[in-house]
Amino acid sequence: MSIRSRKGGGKEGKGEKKGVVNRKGNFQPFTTNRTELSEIPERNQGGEMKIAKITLFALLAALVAVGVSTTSYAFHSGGVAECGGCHSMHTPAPTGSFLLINSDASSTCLSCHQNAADTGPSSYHISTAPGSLGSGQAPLQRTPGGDFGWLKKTYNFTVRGTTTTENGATHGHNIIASDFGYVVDPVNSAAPGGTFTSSQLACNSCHDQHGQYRRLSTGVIAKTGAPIKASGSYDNTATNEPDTANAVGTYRLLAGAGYNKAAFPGVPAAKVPGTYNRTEAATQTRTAYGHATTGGHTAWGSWCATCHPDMHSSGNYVHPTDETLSGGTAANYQQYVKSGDMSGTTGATSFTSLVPFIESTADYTVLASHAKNNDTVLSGPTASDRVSCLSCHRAHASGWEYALRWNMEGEFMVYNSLYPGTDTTPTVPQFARGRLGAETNAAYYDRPVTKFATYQRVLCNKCHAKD
Amino acid sequence: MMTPMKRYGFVMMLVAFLLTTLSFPAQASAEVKSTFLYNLSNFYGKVPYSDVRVRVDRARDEAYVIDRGVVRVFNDVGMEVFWFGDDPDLLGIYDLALDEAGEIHLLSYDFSVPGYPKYHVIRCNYRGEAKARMTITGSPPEFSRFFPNYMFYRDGKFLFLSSSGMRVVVTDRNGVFLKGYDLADILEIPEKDRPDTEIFGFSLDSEGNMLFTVPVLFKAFVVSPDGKVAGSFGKAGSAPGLFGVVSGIAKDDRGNYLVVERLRSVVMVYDREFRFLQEFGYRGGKPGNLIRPNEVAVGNSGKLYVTQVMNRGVSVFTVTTD
Repeated sequence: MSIRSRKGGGKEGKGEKKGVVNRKGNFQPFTTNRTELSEIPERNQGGEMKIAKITLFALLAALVAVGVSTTSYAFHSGGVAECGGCHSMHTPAPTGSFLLINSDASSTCLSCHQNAADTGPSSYHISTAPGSLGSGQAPLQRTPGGDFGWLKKTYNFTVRGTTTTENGATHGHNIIASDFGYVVDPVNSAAPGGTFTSSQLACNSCHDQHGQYRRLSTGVIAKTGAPIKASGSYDNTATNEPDTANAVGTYRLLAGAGYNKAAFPGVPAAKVPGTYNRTEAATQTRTAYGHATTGGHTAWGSWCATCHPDMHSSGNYVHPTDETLSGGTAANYQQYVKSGDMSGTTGATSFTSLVPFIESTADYTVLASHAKNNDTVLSGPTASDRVSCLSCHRAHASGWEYALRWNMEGEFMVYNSLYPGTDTTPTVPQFARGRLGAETNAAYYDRPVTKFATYQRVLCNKCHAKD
Repeated sequence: MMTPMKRYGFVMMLVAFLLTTLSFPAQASAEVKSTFLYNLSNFYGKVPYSDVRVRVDRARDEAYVIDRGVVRVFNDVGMEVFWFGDDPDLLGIYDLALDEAGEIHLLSYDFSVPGYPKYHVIRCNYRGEAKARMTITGSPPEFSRFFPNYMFYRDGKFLFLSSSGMRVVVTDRNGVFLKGYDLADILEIPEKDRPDTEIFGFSLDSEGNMLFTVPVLFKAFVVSPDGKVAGSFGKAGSAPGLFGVVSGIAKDDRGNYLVVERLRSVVMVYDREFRFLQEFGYRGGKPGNLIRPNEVAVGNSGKLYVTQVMNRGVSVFTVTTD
């Protein structure tokens, strides 16, 4: 540190009467100049009536243009958002495309979905700004899909004299958002198990940025049809389900059949609680994944397999995906509490968001009733429920290699009742892998270490119970 | 001679024309001159900041930049003269405010218990050495779960903002709760829309008014200390003066409002009547261009500090109006 000269000191402030200010009693409503349409004179002659109609239309159009209301919430609302939010008619990014206002599609998304002012999980943010990613600092967001900031967390550590680098790029999908420092995957030129070109990977590879896909009241997914009234992703069934006149968006604007970026066979089904970006220190965030395969839907694994076909168990000798658990596996899941503890006999509280499963239902209202963030629904799977990609991986990025939900690079997730860290368990660096204990805890969404065994083995055991 | 119906039609068309015209931002005639001065630098050159917090100590004409828990201090010509933040006692620094005497008050977070962050205000001397630590006390229940990410000091009081919660708490110098504002309530934002509605830019003007932007509303607001909406402006769009995704906001010494438009990478200037004057920056690689700017802070002599991404650092401009 350098030193500079300056005087110090300060004075104390004076007390003031306490109180809370809100709109009750003192709110000044916005004022708008409304024209009294009732003052339009009664019809006169035919031509003059036409003039009146034209001018009335113009007046109404002008009122719409002016915007008599300040209500303009929820940018996407399950469909195409405010055009000017992403495109500029007059001043697009000079080297960009599609009149986008940032260098590329993902940078445009992150203009809203990353906020440098965050100190913790916040709203719809899915990336942590570099200013909060210093050494020892874990990314802040805790969405079910994960924080892309993990892609920027590279760790170096030495085990038995050999120094290893765990490149941040291994932590998830390497979207390209050049304005925000997200670059192409440095290792994989194509999607693992597939041919999708890594240099094309962006948020809109998976999410239909224009939100054309919609779920109609018939349950069918379509790209056109009834107008989209709301997101459709959330657990509020009253406003997030279609009606005879209106559709809702697909889960998380995910793209379906006929998409021009990837040949998805359909869209997968799920519901998430309205508040989903949150710590799981006290209660879990349960995303309810469904299994729908008709009416424009597809299973979760099949959807992922659009870009990763060789990873799908259909025709490949890999871990099963989209397949039913069977009674034995479901029973393991229900009974498994932690390493050495299979006391969860009823399975009523066996759910963990570190190993979510796919429910054997295509009913969105059922899924909505299970999408909770207050631990009121923690029931485990039945034999007919399924395992899929998301049972082990996060969709965006995670604190671990290959976007896994837990650390698979060692036998212990918890060591001697401590989250492994260079500070907490320095004698076993192979489990910390260069992280602080707090970073490890953050990768598990802040769960207390007491949720696990003293020496907790990896969560493959949640289904396989070998520990 | 027009019939009454024709006269009516003429008037209606005139009204329609005026209303249509009003859908574009009112543009005033005052001339704005913006000049790029420099990027905040040290002896290695431009400090390649991306998305940082910048605060200005106008009494000493210095800028403080917070990045990854480290605070760097830049003098009146933008050269780094000091840094601090490596002391564990300072915790994780997110914001700071300076009082009249030049003491530095840090808004710092303790993340040692994951999922249960605790924040403190750490009073430091001019060297950034911790002298005392305090928390907010006496908050009513509606402000009990309040996690601020902005801090200001004015007239012996601290003001804290939770931008995602849209709540403001004012305390005395000892952290004792004095007043709270629920800005979402003041703006009559429905409960169901609260999770998706947040503040992207916030500052105080010289009268203590709270200036802030809410991008999903495409608006900037001025809320007076008594909790009333003193003004609002902004319309959605991509033409000059319109709001795409707005963030940082500040008021300069001439009473102009400076609003950052992230998407078009500009700083827009509005006069005190909220009439659009001009904008500057624009996306590009030249000096004076900006890449997704975010926050602004007003300094002395018309200086304006603008943060941005892509390691473009903090750009400093002078903005003057006639």
